[in-house]
Amino acid sequence: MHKQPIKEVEVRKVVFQDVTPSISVQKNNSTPMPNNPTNVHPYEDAQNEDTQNDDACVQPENSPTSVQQPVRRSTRVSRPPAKLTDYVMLTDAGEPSCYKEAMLASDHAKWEHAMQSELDSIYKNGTWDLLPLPKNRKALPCKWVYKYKYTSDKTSPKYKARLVAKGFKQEHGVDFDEIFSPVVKMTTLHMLLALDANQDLELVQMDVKTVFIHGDLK
Amino acid sequence: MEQPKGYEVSGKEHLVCKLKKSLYGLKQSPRLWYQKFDAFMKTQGCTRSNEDPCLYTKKCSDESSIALILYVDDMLIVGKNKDELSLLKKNLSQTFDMKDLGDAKHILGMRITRDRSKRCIYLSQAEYISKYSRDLIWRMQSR
Repeated sequence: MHKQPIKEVEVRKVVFQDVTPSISVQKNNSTPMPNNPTNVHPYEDAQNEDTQNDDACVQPENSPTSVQQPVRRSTRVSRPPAKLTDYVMLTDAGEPSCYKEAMLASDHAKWEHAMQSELDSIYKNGTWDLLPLPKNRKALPCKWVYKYKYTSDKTSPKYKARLVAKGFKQEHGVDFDEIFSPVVKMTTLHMLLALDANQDLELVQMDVKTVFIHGDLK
Repeated sequence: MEQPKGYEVSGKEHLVCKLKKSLYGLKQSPRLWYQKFDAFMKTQGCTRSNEDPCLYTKKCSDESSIALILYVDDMLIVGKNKDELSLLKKNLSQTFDMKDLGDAKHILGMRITRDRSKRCIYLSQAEYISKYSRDLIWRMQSR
């Protein structure tokens, strides 16, 4: 339904980080290196990488580099390692991978509708207050995640948009503490189904619509 | 948190979101959900199993029991007493935004079919397998 380039973006993510620096060191002995190239904190680096990716998913070439001095990027065509060709990503069904891309899609009206409906439930839930950012704090980034949902009758897909916080930027001990959450054991499920069959009981199912917006943050 | 892209409140673009409730993607979200659910189940007179923290049971007035198991957002409720079942379902729906799926047909990628005359339940992963193998083959070929 959608075109392939999205997959290439995924690949770029893999190679980007670890290949480029080593190439520029090996091949550019003649070019003057910045005086303190090691000043880029790994965390900062990951952040730049990430924001860049969000903005760049539509037009990767034009994306601004976010480090202070302009970094000379390798002109080498990056290719994923051979071992990765054995893998296939099954969860990608050609959905837009960021807000910009969704807005450029031909069916952007449907994505907009999906985002509005997600925001409606967030507002209804009283998820946040708009406040100025406290000093010396960073706001946690978030992004839109888009998904086609096919119902069992296999007609046209439903458009789902979900707002997700970038939890990988949270710091343990500062932003969160304990995170363990149990799920049912398979043996418990099997036992219950066996009991149900044996005793001829009722077996009903329910699911929670937007499960993770229910928790209360301290 | 930053305001969602494309939906910044106009005139308030410089403000950020102070989260009061959890959100998808936060590290603590699954745990906060579980704690909230656990607290709710206690108010319903349900007992959490010591063997499995996602199994809750309740003794009904007619000496039968109902049992509930939770898998993140999916739950199965088993029991004989239909009134107690629908009461629990009603209370759950009033507290959380829930979808009542009726008799269980599909859980964790398994199709549930039952034959009450033989007192049998059948679980099948055929659809799960064919869904992913078809997708896998298609993608391997299209590369």
